[in-house]
Amino acid sequence: MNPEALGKVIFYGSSIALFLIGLYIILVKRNLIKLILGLTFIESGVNLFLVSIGYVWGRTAPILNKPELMETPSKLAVDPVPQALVLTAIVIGVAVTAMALAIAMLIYDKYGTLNISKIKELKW
Amino acid sequence: MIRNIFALLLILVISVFLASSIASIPFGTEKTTVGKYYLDKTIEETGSVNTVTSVVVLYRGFDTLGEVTVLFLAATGLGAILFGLREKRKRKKERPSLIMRTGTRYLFTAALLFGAYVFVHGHLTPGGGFPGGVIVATAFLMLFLAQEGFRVSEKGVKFVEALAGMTYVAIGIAGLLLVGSFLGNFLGTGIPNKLASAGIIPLIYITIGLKVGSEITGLLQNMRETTEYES
Amino acid sequence: MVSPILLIAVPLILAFSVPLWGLIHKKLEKFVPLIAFGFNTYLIFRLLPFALTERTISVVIANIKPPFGINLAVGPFGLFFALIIQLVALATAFYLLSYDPPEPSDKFYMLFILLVLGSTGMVLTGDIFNLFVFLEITSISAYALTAITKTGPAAEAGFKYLLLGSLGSTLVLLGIALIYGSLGTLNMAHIAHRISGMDSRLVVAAAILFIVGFGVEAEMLPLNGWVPDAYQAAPIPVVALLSGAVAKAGLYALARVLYTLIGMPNIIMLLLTFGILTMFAGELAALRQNDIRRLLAYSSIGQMGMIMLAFGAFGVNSVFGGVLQAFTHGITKALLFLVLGVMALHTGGATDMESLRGFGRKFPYWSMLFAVGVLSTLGLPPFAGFWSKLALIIGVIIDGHPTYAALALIATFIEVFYFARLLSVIYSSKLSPKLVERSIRNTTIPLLSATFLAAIIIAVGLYPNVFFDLGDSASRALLNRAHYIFSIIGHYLQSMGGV
Repeated sequence: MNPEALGKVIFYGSSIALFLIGLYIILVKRNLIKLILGLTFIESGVNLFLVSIGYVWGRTAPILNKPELMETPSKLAVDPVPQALVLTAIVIGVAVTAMALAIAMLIYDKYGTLNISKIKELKW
Repeated sequence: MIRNIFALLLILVISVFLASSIASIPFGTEKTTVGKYYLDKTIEETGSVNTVTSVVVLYRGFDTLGEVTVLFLAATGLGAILFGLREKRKRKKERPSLIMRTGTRYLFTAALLFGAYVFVHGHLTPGGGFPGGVIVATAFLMLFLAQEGFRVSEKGVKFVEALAGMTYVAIGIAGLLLVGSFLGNFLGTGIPNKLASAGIIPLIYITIGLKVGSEITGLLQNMRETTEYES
Repeated sequence: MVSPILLIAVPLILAFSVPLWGLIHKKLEKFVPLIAFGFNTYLIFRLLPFALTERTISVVIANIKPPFGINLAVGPFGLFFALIIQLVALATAFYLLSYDPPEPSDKFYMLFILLVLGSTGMVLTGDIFNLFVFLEITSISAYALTAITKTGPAAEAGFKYLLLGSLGSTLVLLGIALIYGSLGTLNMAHIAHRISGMDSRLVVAAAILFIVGFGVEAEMLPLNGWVPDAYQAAPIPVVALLSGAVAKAGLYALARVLYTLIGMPNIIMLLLTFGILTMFAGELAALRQNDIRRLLAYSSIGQMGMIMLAFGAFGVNSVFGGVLQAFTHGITKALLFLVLGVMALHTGGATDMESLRGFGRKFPYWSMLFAVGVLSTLGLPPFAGFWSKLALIIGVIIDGHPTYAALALIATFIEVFYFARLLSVIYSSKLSPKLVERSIRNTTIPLLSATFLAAIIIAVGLYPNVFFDLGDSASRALLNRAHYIFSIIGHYLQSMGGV
């Protein structure tokens, strides 16, 4: 297998796998904490995909603190944009997860259960 | 059971759909025009050797302002939702262990300093305001774990959070007034690889560091107090 | 020209400052949203003459010109939606002066400002990833505000919304990743310029991801399960914003991405199918509702479906109708919900039809305001809804889809059924035992804010010319892709020699 196809299988493949595992959890599971877990799986899958898009064979991190890197940076360093995007996406993911956990705590306080099929008023 | 089969079928369809489209994106090759520009121009235009930092704080600085707002939202929303919520069951409380208490005594200052170091050097080394702020919050997390009944002042957290956020927007508006563009760099670029370089990047990362640090600390305190019995 | 960036910067700094106002005096907090949106409305009116031209300008941020930096792409289409959002936000912020928010009140006001700020950012930005960030600001504050009353149903509705909403926005992020992976840029004009060179399977995949992702906020069919629950459980001012700001911003994002970014007729036509399904699902479900909040929620879904149908018909006339309908729908639903909030003050919080039976006999002015909203939704003259519905149906016919226009007409007849039932209950001669003479609170301020919205509806109905001009330049601007691309990155393309 040539290296490009291998890279695709490993990186794109595993990010799709993470995405799908998360989706399966959301579709099938009934526990709020597991649903939140599913969400973070999906987020991680997309983030992994974004980072692997930015990778270029044989190049280094885009921190230009060496003389040769400063001369021809765009030939030696990988794309910095996906890394910046993932930084943003991770922070957003943390925010969503924190919010989800807070609402789950509230639900547990009101109904005494985390199982959504036991909460009668909810029409899922 | 039917639900599982249905879910598996759906997953199968989506996986075929995603795999067939994603497979046409090449791996490990250069595909970007924007990223190339950033790499070539970062030192000349921003003075920051860490290209990711210059992208995060200057080229895509508006996103980062949004990102800070999202984190602020999470802290605010969490505080709003958990307000007045206390766990009813009383749980047995264990005294933190000796190792935890002694370790924290020495590590707390070191962690605070390290966090500050990370967000001050964001334009030179990997790191920056977000990781730095989280490290600062970790220092407080250690105190929460090691000392019973330790709390940070809620007013203090609010005050730092509000002030840091307002400073960030104010730096942006200063750019609008001085160089005619919101979040524009009005300080020049300086000598690359020096601490005092890269214009407004260190300033912004310091405000972000303080904001993230105080927000996460407040968030941890909020979550912790709702799972403890009222004393 | 004043800088449109202030529309985002000023509310943001005010939102951060809310706790500081509270330190001075607790009562000061509630004026902050009013200051923020009063200022924004003033700015919007300063910018309106500009929205009547067909130009789009790029407002550079951080002194980096697009496509390298993030920019705001301020054009007639975006400004039109920003106008809807600001008007609803202003009326709601005024309403808040006499409203006791759920504790902690400072956090409620912050979330409130940020919700509007996020949707304003969505309709102004010119960068696809920035659109995602603003989408998250909007939706996270909406999740928190839905659950903020801390009752059981509110928590459930909040969780349901959060699950669907964050799933949707992750799909949007995946779509952005697909585009960045093949085009290497994030500026919307730059993407639009290059999209013809992208693998067509990837374009279709990205388009579907965007439709499904933004469809959550736009109340589109497979993902709108959160709408009725959230409308029922959230505080009334928040509900006014959910339909007046969040749904409109989602709709804007759908239209902008499909028309400007992708620009392929057969993909845009997908909206037709989604729109028709959403419309009938909403209207038919509304027939069975007994709670007025739920009824209005389903009616909102139906209306959003109708607007999507108009956008999916892909023609300047139907888009014109869709844009006008978005305006009247936003203002009218906000009016209906604000009035409903006051109605609930007289029944001890109940909003089901039986508790409000005979409300019209006792409170004629309030019921008149409610009737203005209902009649405008149905599309009767002399209200704004008449012109927008007429423009929508005629536009869809002119653009060559008479069948779809007929479907929209059928949906309107369904609306007549349930709204007639609603009005007959409100004006019934029998009185509900739950109705009380005097509400617990003074209702002067809600009265003024509801009258403000009703006045807009009647004024637009009587003097529709400016309204038509605004809608006209908005719809033309949306369809003029080449102009959008050129005005944002024209200088860059020229320097590359690629024009």
